[in-house]
Amino acid sequence: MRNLKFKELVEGIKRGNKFILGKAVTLIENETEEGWELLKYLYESRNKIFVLGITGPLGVGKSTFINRVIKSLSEEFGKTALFLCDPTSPISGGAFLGDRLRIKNAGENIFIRSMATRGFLGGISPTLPFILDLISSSPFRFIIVETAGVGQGEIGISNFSHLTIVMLSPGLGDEIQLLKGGLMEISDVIVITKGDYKEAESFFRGVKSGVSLYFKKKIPVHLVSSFDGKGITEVVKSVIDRKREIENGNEYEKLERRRRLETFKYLVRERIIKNFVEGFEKNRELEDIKGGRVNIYRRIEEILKNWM
Amino acid sequence: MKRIRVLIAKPGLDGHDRGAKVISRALMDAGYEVIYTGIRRTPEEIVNMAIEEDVNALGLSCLSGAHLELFTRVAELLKKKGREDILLFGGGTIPKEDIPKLLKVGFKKIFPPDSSVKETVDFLNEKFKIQRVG
Repeated sequence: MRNLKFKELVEGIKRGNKFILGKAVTLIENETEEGWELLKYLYESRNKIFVLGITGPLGVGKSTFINRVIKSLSEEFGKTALFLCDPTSPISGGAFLGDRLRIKNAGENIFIRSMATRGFLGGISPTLPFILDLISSSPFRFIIVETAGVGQGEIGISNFSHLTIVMLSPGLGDEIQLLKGGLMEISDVIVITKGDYKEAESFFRGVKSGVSLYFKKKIPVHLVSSFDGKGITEVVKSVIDRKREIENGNEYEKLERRRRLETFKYLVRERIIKNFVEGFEKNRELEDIKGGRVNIYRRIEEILKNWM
Repeated sequence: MKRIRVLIAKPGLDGHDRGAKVISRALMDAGYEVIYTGIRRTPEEIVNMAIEEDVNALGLSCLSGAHLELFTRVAELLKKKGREDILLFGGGTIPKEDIPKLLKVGFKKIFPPDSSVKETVDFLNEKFKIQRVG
C-alpha cells in the first residue's frame, strides 16, 4: 500500500472517507510531521463541531450506554465520530482497548476509533484535542468522546466537550460524594446505570435530592438500564434539549473559547515542551540534571532569557 | 511516538473467547495497543474496524471449525479494500493440514492449539522490530 499524498489526505478527510480518516488520525496520534502539516492546513477550513463527553468511573457502563444511544443521536445530529479512550499501561506502554466491542451495528454514518491515553492522566489522549480539530474538516461533526474510567479528579474531558454526561453506578457511595468537587461539577446530565439492580431506585432518589439541595444548577438526573433499555429515550431527549440550549445562547461560544485555549496549551506541551526535553536528552544535559550537577532553577532562567 | 496497533478479532458465531483475551493481554504486556472486537463479528465488520483503527496487524481467533471460510473471507476483503499490508495471523482449533491453505491466502502465521502465548508475542516482536529497523 503506497503512502497517501497530502492532497489525497485532505480531500479524503473532507469527503469523510473512513480509510483516509483512519490514516490521518494515526498521523496525528503518533505526532508525525505530516500530521502537524495536515492540522496546519486544515485549520483554515474547519467547521463547527459539537462534542459530547461521556465520563465516569471504570465499569459503570459507558460503552454499553453509548451503544444504546448512538444511533438515535446520530439520526438526530448527523454523521457521528466516536472516540473511545482506555488507559495505557504504566508498566508496558501498551494498552487493551476494549470499548468498541460493546458497539454493535454502527453503520456507515458512524466513525469509531479506539485511543489509548498514552501516559496522560486526564482520562483522554493528549492528541485528542488535535484530532477534534482534524475531524471538524470532515462530515463527522457530532463527536462523542468516551473517557477512560476516571476518578474524582480526572476532568480532562470538560475542557473539550460542549456537553458532558457523568455516569454513576448504584453502590458507589452516598450523597456526601455529591458535595465534593471535581467530577460531579462538570456534568450537564447525570446518568445512573444498572437501573435493573435492586439498589438502583433508592440510589437514584438520593442523587436527585442531592442535586436539588447542593447543586447551583439543577441538572437532569436519569436512571437507565442499558440491559433492558429503560430510561434511554429520556436521556436522549435531555441531550437534545441541552444541546439546543447551549447552541442557541452564548454558552457555545464560551465553551469554544475554552476549547481553543486548552487545545493551544496541549499543543505547547506536545510540540514545545517535548522538543525541549528531547533537545536536553540529545546534548546529554538530562544526565547532568539527573546527576545533580546542574542548578535547574538557574538553567531555566537562562533558557527563558535566551528565548524571550 | 508511534505505537504498534493490533486488532484481535473473533469472526463468526464462535463464543470461545478466552484465548483471544489471553493473547490480547499478553500483547498489551509486550507494549502493543490491542483493540479487541469481542465475539460474533462478521468478516466485513472486522475489516472495517481494521481500517478505522488503522492497525498494523490483525489476529483472528476461531475455535468453531469455520476458520477456512471466515479467515479466507477476511483476507480477501482486506485486499479488496487496499489494506493487504496489514500483518495477518490467526489461531484456534486449526488442524495442521489447513495451515498451508491459510498461508496461501495471505496469513503470515497460524498458531494451532499447541502454540504458546510466548510464540505469538515473539512472532509479532520479530516482525515489527525488523520493520522499524528497515
